[in-house]
Amino acid sequence: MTDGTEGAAATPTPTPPAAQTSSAPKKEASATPTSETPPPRPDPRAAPGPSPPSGPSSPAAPGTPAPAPAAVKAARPPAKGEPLRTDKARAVSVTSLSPEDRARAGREVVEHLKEHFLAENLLISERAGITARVKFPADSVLRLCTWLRDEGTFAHCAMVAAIDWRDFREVLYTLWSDHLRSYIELTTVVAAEDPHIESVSGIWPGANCHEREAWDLVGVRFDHHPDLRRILLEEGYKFHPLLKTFELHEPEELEVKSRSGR
Amino acid sequence: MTADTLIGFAFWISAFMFNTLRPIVPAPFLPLMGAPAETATAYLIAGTMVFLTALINAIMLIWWERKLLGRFMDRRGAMHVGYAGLLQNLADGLKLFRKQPLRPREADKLGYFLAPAAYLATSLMIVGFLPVSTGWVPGVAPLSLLMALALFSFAPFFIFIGAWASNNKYSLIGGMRTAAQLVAYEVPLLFAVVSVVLLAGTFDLTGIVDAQIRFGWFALPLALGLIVFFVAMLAEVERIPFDLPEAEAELVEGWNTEYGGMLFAMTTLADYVRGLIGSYLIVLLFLGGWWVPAGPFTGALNGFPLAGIFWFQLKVYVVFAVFVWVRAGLPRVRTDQLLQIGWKRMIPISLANVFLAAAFVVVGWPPFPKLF
Amino acid sequence: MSEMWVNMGPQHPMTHGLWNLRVKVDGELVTDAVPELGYLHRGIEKICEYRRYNEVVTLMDRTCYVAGLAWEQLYLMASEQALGVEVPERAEYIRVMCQELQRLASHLMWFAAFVMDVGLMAPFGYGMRDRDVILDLFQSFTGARMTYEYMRVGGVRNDVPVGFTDRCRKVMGWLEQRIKDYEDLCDRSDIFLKRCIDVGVLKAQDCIRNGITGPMLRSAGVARDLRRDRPYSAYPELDFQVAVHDAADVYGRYRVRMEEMRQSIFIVRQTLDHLDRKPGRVIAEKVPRFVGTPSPPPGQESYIVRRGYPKGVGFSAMEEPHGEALAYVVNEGGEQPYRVKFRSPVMVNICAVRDYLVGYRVSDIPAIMGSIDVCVGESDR
Repeated sequence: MTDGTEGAAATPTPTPPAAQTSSAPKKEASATPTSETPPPRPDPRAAPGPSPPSGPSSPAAPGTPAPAPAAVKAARPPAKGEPLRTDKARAVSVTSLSPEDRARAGREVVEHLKEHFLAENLLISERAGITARVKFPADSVLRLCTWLRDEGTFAHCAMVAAIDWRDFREVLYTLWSDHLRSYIELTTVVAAEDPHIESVSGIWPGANCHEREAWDLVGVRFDHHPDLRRILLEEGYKFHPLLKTFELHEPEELEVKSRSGR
Repeated sequence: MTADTLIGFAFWISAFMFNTLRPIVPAPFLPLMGAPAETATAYLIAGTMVFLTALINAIMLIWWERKLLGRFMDRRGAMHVGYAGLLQNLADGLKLFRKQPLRPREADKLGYFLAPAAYLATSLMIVGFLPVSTGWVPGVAPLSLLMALALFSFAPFFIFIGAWASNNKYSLIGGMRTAAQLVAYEVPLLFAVVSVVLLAGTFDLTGIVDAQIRFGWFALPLALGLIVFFVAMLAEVERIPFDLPEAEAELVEGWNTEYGGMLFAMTTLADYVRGLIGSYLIVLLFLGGWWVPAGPFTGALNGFPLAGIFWFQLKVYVVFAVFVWVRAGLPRVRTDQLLQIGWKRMIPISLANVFLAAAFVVVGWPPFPKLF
Repeated sequence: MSEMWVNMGPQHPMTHGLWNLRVKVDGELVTDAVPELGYLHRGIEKICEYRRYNEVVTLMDRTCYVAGLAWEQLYLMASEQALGVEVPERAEYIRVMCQELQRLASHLMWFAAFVMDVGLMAPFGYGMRDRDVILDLFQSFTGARMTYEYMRVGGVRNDVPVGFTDRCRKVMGWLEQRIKDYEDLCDRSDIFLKRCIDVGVLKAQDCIRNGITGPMLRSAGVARDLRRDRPYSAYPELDFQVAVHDAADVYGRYRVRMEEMRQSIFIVRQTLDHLDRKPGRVIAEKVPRFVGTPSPPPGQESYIVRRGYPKGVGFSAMEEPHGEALAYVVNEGGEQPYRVKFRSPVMVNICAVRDYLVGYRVSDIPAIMGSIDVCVGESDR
């Protein structure tokens, strides 16, 4: 199996293989100091490609939703004689901010958020690794999410989760911003007696399955959800297994039970 | 030598296979039948001979395909039962034979059980018309090529019946695809045959091979026809670039999804019998049948006992190896692409090929003195 | 013509696992599609609440059976944050090497399954063979080929054996050549291109709306890769590029994955160089006893001193072979996590099926679904 040894010798000079790629990760901090031009850096070795870079002409301002390439034509396959790996594949450059700028922009977004939702009494706390953790009242979820998507550049709804805290249930929204390259965590509390919150699947269709899962496993209902069925468990199942009231039995106990039951 | 005479005798008997049908055959088809009728025993022996020839060859083709495909995929293929896995398929067949034939409750009983049987039977019947060497043909008929092709195009009906009777959506889609595909590729297939018939001047397969012995292989003047015939045959026997009716990725097993046990074995066997017939026809029509032109060695190469059968079988297995090679190397086309290739590419090419053949008939082939 | 619903699954060659794709077909045309998940739901998140921190690692291998190590690290990054454990540098490098080897194995498995879906027979064998070579590598230092249970809270279980780096380099060189071969094989096949180009198109805007991540998103021209955008573990120290393609179709996804494999080989080589240069510990010195470390390393028995239970919430995000995976580990000061929550990229990608399947033909379904790279163990958990 390991007979071929062409590349066995360790390559001492690490240069990234020339390819259809965007930018290198590590040197970014030093290489792009607060530049504002979107760099769809064309690979110098790339053959004249089929489509000229036609990404967003201006860098994504903090107010614009994240990137949509202007209808790019489907790249044709390489011609017969052409070397295969040099066909153009250009990244739509999402952002060109340095990490410091991104952190500052993140703080600005949080400030804006606070100002815009003064009445809601947002509770904003810092958390390592993410922009902020925002605690908000449950009835403002739609306005908050819409604002964050359209104004706050958090265009990607990564996850909707629910946690059962026995006395109440917590609903967590994790959003990702391509511009800030960071997550923001929204959290709210719903009552344990009648846990329900407005669905955000109208804002992000991608939240659909997360909300179904939260309903399925934790039993939080999402109002005006287009299709709130169970997703992982079967229809008609009586329990929401991730509730703390749902006790898990060790296998041996189960065995004993079934034996005694018979 | 004894084996030679024995087999020859059996084939001679089987030449009367269809003569027992003589009383019930309508008058226009009487010329298809040869000498007067003999006994039912002869009929049985001949039928058995054809049956065994086709089955043994089909099973060997499965083995051949498994081995080749294994090599293409960088593995070994069947290797444990018998020498180099030769008996593996017999073991598989035995296992399938022992299985209980199950029918889905909602399936139509008659169609469900009849379709595989009819599919296999018509496929086997064709073998009776194909000569494997000079005089080695059970069904002697001046129009044997026509008969073989007519029987060959029966298959879509039975496939469709089986698919419809299974009462399964995959089967249904597979059956529909079969119908569309076989109809589309029947036309270029027949056009390619027409070019051969034009050049040979006969519908008799033995006569066609004789013509090739005189003129050289038809693969040379009718290269286009060979390509068209080969591609159309791939579609007709539903092999991989065109195996849409049983595309296992989307339609679980295609039209025979609901078949299991021996019924499944019968459909698979029929598939391979059709593959065998496809290879037979390619060899007979384009690759000189049992004749090997070899310049000064022609006499020696074609003279030893059973030389015809030997060369014929060799060619058939080589042709089938090309089938397998195509299967290993090409992805499956899409339904619309398949029909596009059929109607928009294959038919014009095959028509051009017919004109080419007509031109050769007029100016004569070969245009230069014969090489061998 | 009348329409009918066809159940593709739960047992179906296209699904690559247990899930049910209900498609409404009009002849050969797909007019609607509904995914049904949950056939492989094992309640892993619930079981996690009854296991100690290290015992959960076993479950992570079962979560995604083609990228077990990726999920091990995803979970451990979150739980280490929740427990406040620091991971030594060498362990981070070993983890990243595992990540990339796992990405290679996963993508090779994807390649094999994908070409099989398109109807190519032979490369299926090649993909599986090459994956086997990587599994051999895994076996040499984790002892297992599929369910590794290799990582621990605070690092990894054991160091790589002597001579491993050279062996791995050899395999990487061999693999690089193979990947080039596969690209030649597929890119020069007209039928393959016809099956792939302009099929299953999902533009960038739709991808983002639907929350789609991973190679599918990158094939639509959005260069989002958490390894670069939110570097974790040892990735800030490593040099690589993000594979992106513009096509947004099956072909683009294929190209992105092929390119990612090449980049993975490149990353693995860097980590191997680092492993050769810098020996060191592979598991943190101060790991709380209660996480369930089966046996302390020799000479380190003293660290078993029981401390108070720390509290905290751990959050980790990772670019898994299939896309963006997130994990929450809520530590409420017990021996077991209070709540574990995962984001499975595959589930989101599957749930958007209506957007990229409707309007194509039945024959396109395997090609499109193959290009998604479905791993049901992960989506159902």
